[in-house]
Amino acid sequence: MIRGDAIFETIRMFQEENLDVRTVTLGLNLDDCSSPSLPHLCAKIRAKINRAAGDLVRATREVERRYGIPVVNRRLAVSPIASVAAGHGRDALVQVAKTLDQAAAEVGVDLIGGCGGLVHKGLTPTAKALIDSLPEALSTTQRVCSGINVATTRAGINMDAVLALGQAIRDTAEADQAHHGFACAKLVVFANMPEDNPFMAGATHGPGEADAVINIGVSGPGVVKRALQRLIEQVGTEQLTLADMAEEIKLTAFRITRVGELIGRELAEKLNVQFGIVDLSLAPTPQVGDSIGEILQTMGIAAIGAPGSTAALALLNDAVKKGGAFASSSVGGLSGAFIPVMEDATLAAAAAGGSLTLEKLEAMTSVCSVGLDMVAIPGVTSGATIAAIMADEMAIGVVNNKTTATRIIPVPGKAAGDHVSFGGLFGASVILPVRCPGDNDAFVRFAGHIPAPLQSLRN
Amino acid sequence: MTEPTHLLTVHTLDQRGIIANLSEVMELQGARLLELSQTVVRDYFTIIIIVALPPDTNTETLSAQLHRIIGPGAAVNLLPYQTSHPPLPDSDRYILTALGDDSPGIVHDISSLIAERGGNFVDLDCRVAATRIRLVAEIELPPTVALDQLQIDLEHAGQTAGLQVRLQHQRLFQATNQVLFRRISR
Repeated sequence: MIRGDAIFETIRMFQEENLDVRTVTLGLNLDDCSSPSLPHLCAKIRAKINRAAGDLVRATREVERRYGIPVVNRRLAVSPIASVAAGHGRDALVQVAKTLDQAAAEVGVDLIGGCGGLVHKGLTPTAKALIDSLPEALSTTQRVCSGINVATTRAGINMDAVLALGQAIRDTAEADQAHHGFACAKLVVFANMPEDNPFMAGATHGPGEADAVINIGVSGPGVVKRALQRLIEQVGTEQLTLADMAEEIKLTAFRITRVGELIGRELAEKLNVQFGIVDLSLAPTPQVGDSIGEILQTMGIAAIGAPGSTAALALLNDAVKKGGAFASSSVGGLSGAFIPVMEDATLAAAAAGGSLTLEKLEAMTSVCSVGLDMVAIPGVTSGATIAAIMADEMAIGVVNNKTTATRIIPVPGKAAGDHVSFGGLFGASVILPVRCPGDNDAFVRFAGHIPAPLQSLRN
Repeated sequence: MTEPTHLLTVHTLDQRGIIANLSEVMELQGARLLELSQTVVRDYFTIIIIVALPPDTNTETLSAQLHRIIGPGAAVNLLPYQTSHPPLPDSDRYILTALGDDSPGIVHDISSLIAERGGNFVDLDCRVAATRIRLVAEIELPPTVALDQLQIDLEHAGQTAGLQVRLQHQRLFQATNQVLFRRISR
């Protein structure tokens, strides 16, 4: 039998340190649902989701009980709707979003991703219509999420799409004024979007994937923080080096990843679908003890955003990836550390305290997973300025050959320094100021294409 | 394959050299050690050995020799080996853990629930320090067991006594604690 100490160590990760399987995401290809008839298209989408995902909740509960591991969310990621619904117009795409919402409710999942498209080289008429449909689609549905890829290292940045999305984000916030623009939290704009990301709101079932695939997202900032605290208590700050911390994070990441793979493979077998990847992303929640900010504080960064924050985050992100890669050959998605400001109470407090600014956040995103995530900005910020913020973030991803993304919420009626709360896992935050808004409009309004960097010429 | 013939158990106050002495006597008798499990519980050395003895072995003489070499106060038993019931077909192995306040009868309460559902303890370690108890057991459960209900009943039994009792499939602990972990080893 495995040693008793090791057994209780594993149990402690779940019981006291908030380790959980954050999401079980069933990726589903909907290309075979395409139809020139809107009713036919919607009926086929609904039927396929019910057929493929009808058993997802029950099967997940069974696995949850067997291993005694909490699975927090069950979700769906479908093929980019801009391709599935090719040929349809704006209003039809709103109907498709509503169909996705209904089907997701029928199978008992809380979010469904994929109501987006891949537009990094150009916009098809349907992709254009889809962007136009987002304000209505996202503000009139509960579960639908959209991920749109506007840039890749190989293709550069499609600034036409960035500009259109800047305005769409602004319009989405306006359309959802009643909820402080919450609908924008369901829209992610990507550079180098992964095809197998299980985390929302950016999960999309990529065109290179199998018909149905189970992808797993595991989290556990609390486990990493406690592991580092124990290390400091045991070794003492005099003896400890940053390399020791990196080793401890790797070991912890290894164990967390193994949990994800175990659950994912068993669930895929039960549902008779392919197992895809396990994405170990330290995804915080507003709960105390479940925070990336707290990890950085444990590493000695008292005020998040202060000098040293980027280096500490780089160490954390790299060690998480290394531990995960050793644990499993099926690591994918984003796999690193998320820094969603609103969803992490410590980051939100740093933003409120002034140590964490939009500019510092942008710097930190160059070394970790994703990007400007769940950042609330003043409601008056123009679509062009939002586009410019996104263009900066996309440039970091394109040049550094990594995924970056934005999930920006221009909160209607709120100014810098005001407070907004979405409740639950979406958290709360101060509204971050955007410096020199409007001064950048001329640049983004040139639109067109930012060419691919030299790193793209690798063949 | 060598078939087991006898089961040897020894319990005695722990001291250095017990295994060396035991194995020397067994070797002189031409015995083959087939399986062995040894631990020290508090101050007591305890060992269980499955052996194959030559057909002409005088077991009474062997027992006496073993007793003499280990010393007074030791319990030495040499019994004929018997085959147990076959393992449960397609059974799954689970890890049962209990941690919390010690209370009279808690081990009985938990083990009775497992026995009622057709489960079998294959390994058990239980320690009480001051007023706290820590129990870890590996259990074989038949595939037909209603796992949900058993988990609920165990949790309830634990809560009544001030303990947290959990029942989780052993693969979770293999996955998180062993570098080599393969799906096919199920």
